[in-house]
Amino acid sequence: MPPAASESAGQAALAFQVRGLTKIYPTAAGEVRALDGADLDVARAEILVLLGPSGSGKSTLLNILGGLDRATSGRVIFEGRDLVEASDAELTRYRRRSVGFVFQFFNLTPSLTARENVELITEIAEHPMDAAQALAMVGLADRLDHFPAELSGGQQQRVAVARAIAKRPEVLFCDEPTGSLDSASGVQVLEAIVHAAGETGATVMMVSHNAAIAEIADRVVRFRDGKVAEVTANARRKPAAEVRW
Amino acid sequence: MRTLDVKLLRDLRRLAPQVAAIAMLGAIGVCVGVMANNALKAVQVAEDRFYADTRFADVFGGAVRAPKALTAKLAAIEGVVAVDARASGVGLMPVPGLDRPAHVTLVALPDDDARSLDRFKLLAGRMPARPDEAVALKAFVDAAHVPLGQRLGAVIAGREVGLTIVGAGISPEYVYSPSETLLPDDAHQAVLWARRATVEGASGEVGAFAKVALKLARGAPAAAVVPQVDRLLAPYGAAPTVARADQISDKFITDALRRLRILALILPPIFLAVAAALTHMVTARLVETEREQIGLLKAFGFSHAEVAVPYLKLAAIIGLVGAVAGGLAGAGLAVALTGLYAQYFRFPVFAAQFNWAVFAVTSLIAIGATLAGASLAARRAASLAPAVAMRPPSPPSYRRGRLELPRLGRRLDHPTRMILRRIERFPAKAGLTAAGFAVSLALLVCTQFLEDALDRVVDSAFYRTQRWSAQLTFAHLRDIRAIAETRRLPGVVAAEPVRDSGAWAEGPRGRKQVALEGIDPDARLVRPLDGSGRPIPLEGAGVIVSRALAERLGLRAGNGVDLDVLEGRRPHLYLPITALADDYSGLIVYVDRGVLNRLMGDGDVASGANLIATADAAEKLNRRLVDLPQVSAASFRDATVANWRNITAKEFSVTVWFYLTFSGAIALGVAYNMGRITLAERARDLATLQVLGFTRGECAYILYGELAALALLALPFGVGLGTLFAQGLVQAFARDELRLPVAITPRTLAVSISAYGAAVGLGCLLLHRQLSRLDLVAVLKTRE
Ligand SMILES: Nc1ncnc2c1ncn2[C@@H]1O[C@H](COP(=O)(O)OP(=O)(O)OP(=O)(O)O)[C@@H](O)[C@H]1O
Ligand SMILES: [Mg+2]
Repeated sequence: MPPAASESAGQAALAFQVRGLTKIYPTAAGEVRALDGADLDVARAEILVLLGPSGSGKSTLLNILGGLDRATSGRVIFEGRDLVEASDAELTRYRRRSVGFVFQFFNLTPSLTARENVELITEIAEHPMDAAQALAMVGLADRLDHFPAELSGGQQQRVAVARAIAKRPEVLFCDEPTGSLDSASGVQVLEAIVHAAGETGATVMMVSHNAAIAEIADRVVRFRDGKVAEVTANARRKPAAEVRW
Repeated sequence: MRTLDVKLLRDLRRLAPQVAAIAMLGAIGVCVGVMANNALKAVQVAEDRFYADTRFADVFGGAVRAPKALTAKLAAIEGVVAVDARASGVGLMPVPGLDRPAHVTLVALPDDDARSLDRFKLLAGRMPARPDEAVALKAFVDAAHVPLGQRLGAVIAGREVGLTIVGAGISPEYVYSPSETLLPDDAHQAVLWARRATVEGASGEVGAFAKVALKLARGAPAAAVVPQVDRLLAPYGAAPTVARADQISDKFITDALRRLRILALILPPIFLAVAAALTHMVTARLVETEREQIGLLKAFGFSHAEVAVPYLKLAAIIGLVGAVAGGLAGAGLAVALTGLYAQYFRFPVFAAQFNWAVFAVTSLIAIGATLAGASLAARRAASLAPAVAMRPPSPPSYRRGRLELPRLGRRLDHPTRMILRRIERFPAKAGLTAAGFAVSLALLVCTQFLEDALDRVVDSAFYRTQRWSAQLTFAHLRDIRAIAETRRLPGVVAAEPVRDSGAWAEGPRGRKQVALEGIDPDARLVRPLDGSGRPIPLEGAGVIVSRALAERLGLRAGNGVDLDVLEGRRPHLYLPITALADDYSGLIVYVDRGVLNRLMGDGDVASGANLIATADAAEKLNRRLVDLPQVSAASFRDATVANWRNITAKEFSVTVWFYLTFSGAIALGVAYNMGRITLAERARDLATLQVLGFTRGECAYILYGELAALALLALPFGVGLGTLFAQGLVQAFARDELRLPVAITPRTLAVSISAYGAAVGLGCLLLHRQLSRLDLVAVLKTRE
């Protein structure tokens, strides 16, 4: 099936242009084709949700687009440059300048407070917002000086969102951000992501197992066997607060 | 402050006890280096100044009734810039308050002090103003409690001289003044200086000299001068001519400093290596726990270097804390050690020194060591691929261990099984831990072994080889009938003649000054022993040679040895070696007294007598000895050994504790740090077990059991390594007068293993606080 993406997004407004992306893991038991010729266009400032069965390659794609990992072949064009060909240093610069991450496990530094966890990243960013402002954006203005151990799971994940957004990234990658949260906390985190992305104009790529979450997206990408199987556009983005699961 | 530094500080606070334990080991390394070098510098500075002040000579000769005119010839030797010849005599001197007479050396004061060498430096009282006044060595005056103004009667060459002690001081020739047996005995080693006329009168050597000292031009080689002096003195020869390096007092100081220098070279690297290894373990563990945070930082664009630097900073801080603490402690201990040395080396100005260069260098090395220790972990942090770092490490896969032998396995309880499997699963970690333990035990064995080895030397020298209880030295060679006289002295039950002489011995590998000891073939009071402690008989004209001497000369049993006897007509002898004696002190050539007498062209003569005397008659014997004109020196075994034990006990009680603590610190540091790491790795495990109903004690067993098992495993290696270290020390400490045997006695093992156990136990005790603070909820809530 040809990708429908190029029809809805003009060439100039593209965040990523992904072509024939392949990732092969050589393992003892033989090759694993985690990505097998994936094609995808991502528009600027859109919210994209990736769905798909476990092992279909969603995290792999996210990691490659985020500059954490390298593809075996194919192209990922970001601002006119191919990430697949980029050097280590270029990838580091790319991550430093343009990318924010939110992971399933919050990965906060336990010995730093919420504010310090955010500052850790804003210190190396070019045009960051104030850490307190970022935390206020995710509804944690009153928890600035709490250590991770003193925060609930949902609050920790919102700190992670604040940390990701505080540097005003162009793209925000979220890999199952609500995966280890109950639905109420999960909704709060989604709200934080959508709100923060709206404020900063970031493109959001969010992996989820949860079909309900797809309703907050502009477009939904379905993954199967390392390929994009289907892309659907939502007529209307549902506010995160209204999502239930 | 950068947020990463904030994190570093918090990590530091959390890791403080571990950091402190490692820094402590680094500190010990720096401390020993700084202490030893500061003390060395203190001695060196004091010595240099004192030697320069008193014009300490470069070459020393002895003579019997050498004419004063000879000094002109000595002065004419190339390189000699000053000659100082003095009259001198030796004898015995009863001292009020002492149970036996002191040996006395009476030396003439120079006619012109300004031009003299080896000048006496007055520290108390005044210089002699009258013929019957003398000044004495301060060490003797202090040890024998002789008040200024005391009148003493010395018997020199049979003549009694009454002298009033009017002052006390020191001389560069007698900074350290050992007894005949080479052991220190200040109270019985008197050196007195009186006017020349007094000394000449006492020794009966008017217009002659018995001692000569020569100062050489700067850079003139003593080795070239010594034989020329020896040749000139030969007709009057008594003692061999020696360069400063072989002068008894200077040699003793040099040897003591050399031992200190060796310790300063050996010990710090060991401690720093252990500190580096522990730094490696701690930082590697830290990187492992923080891999997801590292991955996250990289995901957010931190560079490889940026994520690695905090681990290096942590290591640098450990090194720095150690260096500063060690530098301070070392400076303090150096002051104490300098004080201790001041009791032996009585330099007038003896001030503690601080060697900044050494402190700076050892500090840099310490920091370098901890940085090196952290480098692997830092490299690992830098090379962690962000995507990999984000995935939690898969749980370590365990297998049923090979240590669980089938038969044994069924009877092992689960906690024990867990211990064994962990040791097998992480062999590198277990190996490093055991290695640390082994090094600690090895050092402990070393500290203890030295004491036992010295004991063995004394036992061998004074109770097995030399078996006399008193030894008399005659002022001149005497006919054998003199021995019968000594047998009639009070309390004497046996007496044997000896004929001793100094000699140069030569073999293919070198030339050494030796003691030529002529004994009768049936002598029972001196018996050279072989390696298994059996007496070796003298055979015909053959000689028995100290094994150490044979090695230095490159000779074996069956070879012949060249001997230049430094006595009488100074004959050159070439005698076959029939056997080697395994003795620990002195370089000795045993020869049949009859053979020696014949070769020397003398009749049946003796230079002294070995006696067995009953203890209850000791006082009477001592009183009689002073009145015997023919006896110039007397040694008493029990007194000598007791005095020596007293001194070493005092010295050891300080240093042994010191080294015991230092060496134990390694075991403590290793146990605590590895325990902390295990605890951190297994906190979830242990907490889960407690949740499942295990008692805290059972969990403690899993933790301590592992350490105990490794400590036990390390035991044989530690003892083995300790023996190797001991052999190295023995090699490094070997001197002509004293060779230490590698004697690892049960006492050594008992003390060192107890200290080792205590150190490991203390480490566990410190851990216990952590274990009992284990917060179950917190541990289970956090995902590691
Ligand atoms: N390091 C690796 N080595 C070998 N195979 C790997 C590796 N990482 C991922 N894979 C494989 O690649 C495939 C895609 O993995 P990926 O993590 O992208 O899946 P996913 O869609 O994110 O699944 P999930 O929803 O369970 O997170 C899987 O089959 C996985 O087993
Ligand atoms: Mg995934």
